[in-house]
Amino acid sequence: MTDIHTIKSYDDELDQLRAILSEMAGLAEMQLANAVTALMARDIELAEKAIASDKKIDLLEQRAEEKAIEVIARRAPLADDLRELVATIKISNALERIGDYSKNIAKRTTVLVNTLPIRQISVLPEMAQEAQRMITDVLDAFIQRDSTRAIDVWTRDERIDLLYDSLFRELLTYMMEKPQIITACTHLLFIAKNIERAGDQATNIAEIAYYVIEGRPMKDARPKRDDTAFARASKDEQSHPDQQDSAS
Amino acid sequence: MSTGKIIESGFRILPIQILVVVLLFGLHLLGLVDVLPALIIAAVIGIAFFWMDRRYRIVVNRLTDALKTARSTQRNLAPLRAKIAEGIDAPLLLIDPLRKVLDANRPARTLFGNNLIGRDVSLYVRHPDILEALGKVMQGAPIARLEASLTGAVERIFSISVSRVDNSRHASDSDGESTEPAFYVVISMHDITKMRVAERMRADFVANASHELRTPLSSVIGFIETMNGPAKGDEAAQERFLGIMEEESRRMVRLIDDLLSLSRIELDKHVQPKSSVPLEPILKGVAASLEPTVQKRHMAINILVPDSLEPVQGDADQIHQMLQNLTSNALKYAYEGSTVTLSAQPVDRIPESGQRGIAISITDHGPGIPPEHLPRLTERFYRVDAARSRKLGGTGLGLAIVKHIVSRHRGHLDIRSILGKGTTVTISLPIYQGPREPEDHP
Repeated sequence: MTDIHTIKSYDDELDQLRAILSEMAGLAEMQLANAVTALMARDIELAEKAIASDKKIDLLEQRAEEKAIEVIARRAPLADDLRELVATIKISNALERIGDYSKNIAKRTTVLVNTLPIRQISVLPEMAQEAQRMITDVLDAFIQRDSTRAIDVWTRDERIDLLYDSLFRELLTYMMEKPQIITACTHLLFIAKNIERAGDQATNIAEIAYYVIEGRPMKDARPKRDDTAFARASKDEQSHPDQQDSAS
Repeated sequence: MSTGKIIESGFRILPIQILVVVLLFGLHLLGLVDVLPALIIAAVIGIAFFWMDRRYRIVVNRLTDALKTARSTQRNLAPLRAKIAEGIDAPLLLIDPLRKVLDANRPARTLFGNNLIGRDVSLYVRHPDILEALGKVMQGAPIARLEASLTGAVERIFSISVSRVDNSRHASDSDGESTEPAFYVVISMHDITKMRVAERMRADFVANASHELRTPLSSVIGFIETMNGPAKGDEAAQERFLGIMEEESRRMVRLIDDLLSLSRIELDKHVQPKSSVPLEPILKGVAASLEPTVQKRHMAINILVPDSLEPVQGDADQIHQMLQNLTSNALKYAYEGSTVTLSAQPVDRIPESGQRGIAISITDHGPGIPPEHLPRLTERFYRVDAARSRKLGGTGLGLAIVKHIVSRHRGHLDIRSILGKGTTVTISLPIYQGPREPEDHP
């Protein structure tokens, strides 16, 4: 780490804050995994566990926020340090949001269990795994001050988007074939959308992490990609803000 | 401690030497021995003892050294123990009551990153179940065990134990000045990914096999129902249906045969076959048995074998089955009217085993196999194009059988393909080593 403070306890306090974030990320990852496993295995108990664990994340978010505010109030940090503390609050909000998405998936699962089983949709667990990996990696990038890793996570979001697109098309054909399963398929579409949004939150965290580490926004350092991919990415970006506002 | 001191000071002159000289001198004084012989004897004995003394001292020095190392080992046991931990091939973390990582062995550093020492453990280990177990142990539970899968580039599943190690030095310090923690927590992780994946694969296999058997069976049942219902009395339709039903039933038989031979090969996969098998007759036999397919698709089989080819070591029936599977694949997927070449030639080294062997290649000219499928071809029921494979009557087990026969023969399988040009499958089998003679041969 480059920022070594004369007061050792200040670093300790920052580390404690980061530890809370890390714990939140672990819970969020697990909650997402549980929610999707519950969906695939039609396991109500696991779904309920996923719903319940959201409380823990909320609690941790509160703790992270209180702790950050307390540090700001007591130490009156400037520049880098202030940026880091604000980032912590932002990241904890993003993680809490990911928790909400998983909770929503689990809730839909409890409804879906009572409907007819639809064909195995293997894309969903794949999407969820990718989102989980992004959450792990982006937190590692933040904690270990690794800005290239943050960029790496940012670029990987495209994969989830592609998976989402293909699932969307697949479910559409199912619904046209069999109108009876439209309800179930709609739930599945929302579930896929939720995972896709969790991925978006991970990219948001990647941007925040990059900003904290490098001191400038990621936009300037984004990897050059071929035009089509870049066009897709920028298109998605524009549609993100309203999605996040409507999500709850 | 005192023994060491004596040995270190050494025996410069042995007391026994002095004793002998004194004895001889005494005898001389008594007039029992002459001066000259007495002195010579004394000198000889003295030299002998001096020589023995040197050897003795070497031994003594060695003993001293050993004792020294033993004592220093005792003193340095702690770092040695750390070295053991470093060498254990399972991630180990030592944590203090404030959840800070005190030490991590090499596998742990590879798993979690290099800079975790001195920092909060939850920065690196963020699985909620592990943290929960850690919390329990911190509150006094002696040990907690769990299984957790860690997210990463590849998912890894660990069996984890979190155990509490009480610190005796903390207890003995009664003055309360001790800075040492009351206890440590050790997290040790054992990678069980392979086991879990194998279990998953077994479950998949049963599901796949049932599915493969069910498909032809439901088609047969469908036709029987049709013949009993709408097509009753329609002889033309019945004949056509019977044809399809026969084909479907034969597919099921083929599948069951393949499953049985696969399980038979697996059963003695650790027993390497020992008989001498000449390859040329087998290659010719394979070509002859596939003659109908060759003619139907206007193809040709070209056999290239050098004149004096050594026999390989193996099981003739299995080698035949394997070459037949591969050649029939080549005939099925190559362009119509093209030539399939079977060739054999000696190689100095079979990859992996390093033995001398014979490489048998089956080369076709066809559309080839896309590279992303190559690594998975030998998986059971893996198909590049499921519909085409089914149309051609494949069971999805052919290459799995080949792989198992090759590995039972301690051979090597290599598949190379160029899209649009064709595929070459090469099997290397070890050369026949002659009968193993018993050790106590008369």
